[in-house]
Amino acid sequence: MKVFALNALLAVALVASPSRAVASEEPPTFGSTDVAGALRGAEVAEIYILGRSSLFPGAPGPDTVRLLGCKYFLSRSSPAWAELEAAFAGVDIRLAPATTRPAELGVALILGDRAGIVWEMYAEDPFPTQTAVRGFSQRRRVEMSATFVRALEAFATRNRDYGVADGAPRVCH
Amino acid sequence: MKCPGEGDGVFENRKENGVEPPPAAAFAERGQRLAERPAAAVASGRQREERLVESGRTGQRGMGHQPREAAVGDSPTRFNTDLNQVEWNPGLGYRLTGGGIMSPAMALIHELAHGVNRIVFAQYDSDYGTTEERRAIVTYDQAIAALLGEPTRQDHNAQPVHVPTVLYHTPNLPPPG
Repeated sequence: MKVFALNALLAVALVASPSRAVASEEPPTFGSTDVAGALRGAEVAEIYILGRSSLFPGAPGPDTVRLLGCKYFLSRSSPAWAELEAAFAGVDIRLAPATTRPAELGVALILGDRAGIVWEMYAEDPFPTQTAVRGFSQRRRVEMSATFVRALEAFATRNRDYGVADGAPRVCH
Repeated sequence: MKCPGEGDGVFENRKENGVEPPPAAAFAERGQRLAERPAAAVASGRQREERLVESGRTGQRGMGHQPREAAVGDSPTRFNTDLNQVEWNPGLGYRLTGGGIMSPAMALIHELAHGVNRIVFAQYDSDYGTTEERRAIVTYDQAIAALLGEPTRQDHNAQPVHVPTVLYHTPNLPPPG
């Protein structure tokens, strides 16, 4: 009887554990309300703007944007935080079809709190004719409104005081 | 002059019957030998990679090793249009959509092409990202890669990968089926 009970317990554990493992590997889902919620829960924000002055052998990815982009940093206590929240008013992020071409990333927004990264987004630097841009958010391929990315870039331009000189190219500031 | 491990390399001047060939002829001969080189270059690169693995310089050793990549760095090759300047990482090749690896030398050629093109204003291009990337790839990369036996590409997608030599490259993978 004890053996049966032990086997049953083991079977339950075996059945339960794979689904739990799969669930933990699933990337977090998101929507416009989740993004707004992420901003409400964030304590700091980093913005990276790569610009168009650098051309690469291959389309720049997240690492390149973070390594070579002009970096801006602000915290919830910064006077410009409310302005950043206003930029989020126009955010419209949706999953992109799997067949879309990988994006040439040029802009990044990373939100964090004391525990680490809350939300991250990478997007193309939109050309004037573009209404939507491709990118990544929470490790998923997404599309979003170009308006949102332009708002982020405009925010960085207006708030150069938040530029971080450490590691950033001289042309940033 | 021999580069270490190159053997009878393309950079070596040859004398025919003890007579130094004239510069133009020597240049043409070098070009011809360079064009014939790809298979040997790949083999040489792989052999060297194997030697590096054997000697433990590729970071394949156990705990406490210093990865070889750390010595080369991760900064990507790029062309700065403001400064009209190429920054080249000789340790980074690029894995292309077709599966092949483009050599660091080809990456340098790609960036030099941007300098030759004297970009004024690039526009959006749905296949290549920008019209300037299309021009560099279609006009220069594809032709030179074909001449050198390097993998050719039809888009601007490429992931940086550390490679053992500046000429190291691998062919595109055959299409499935």
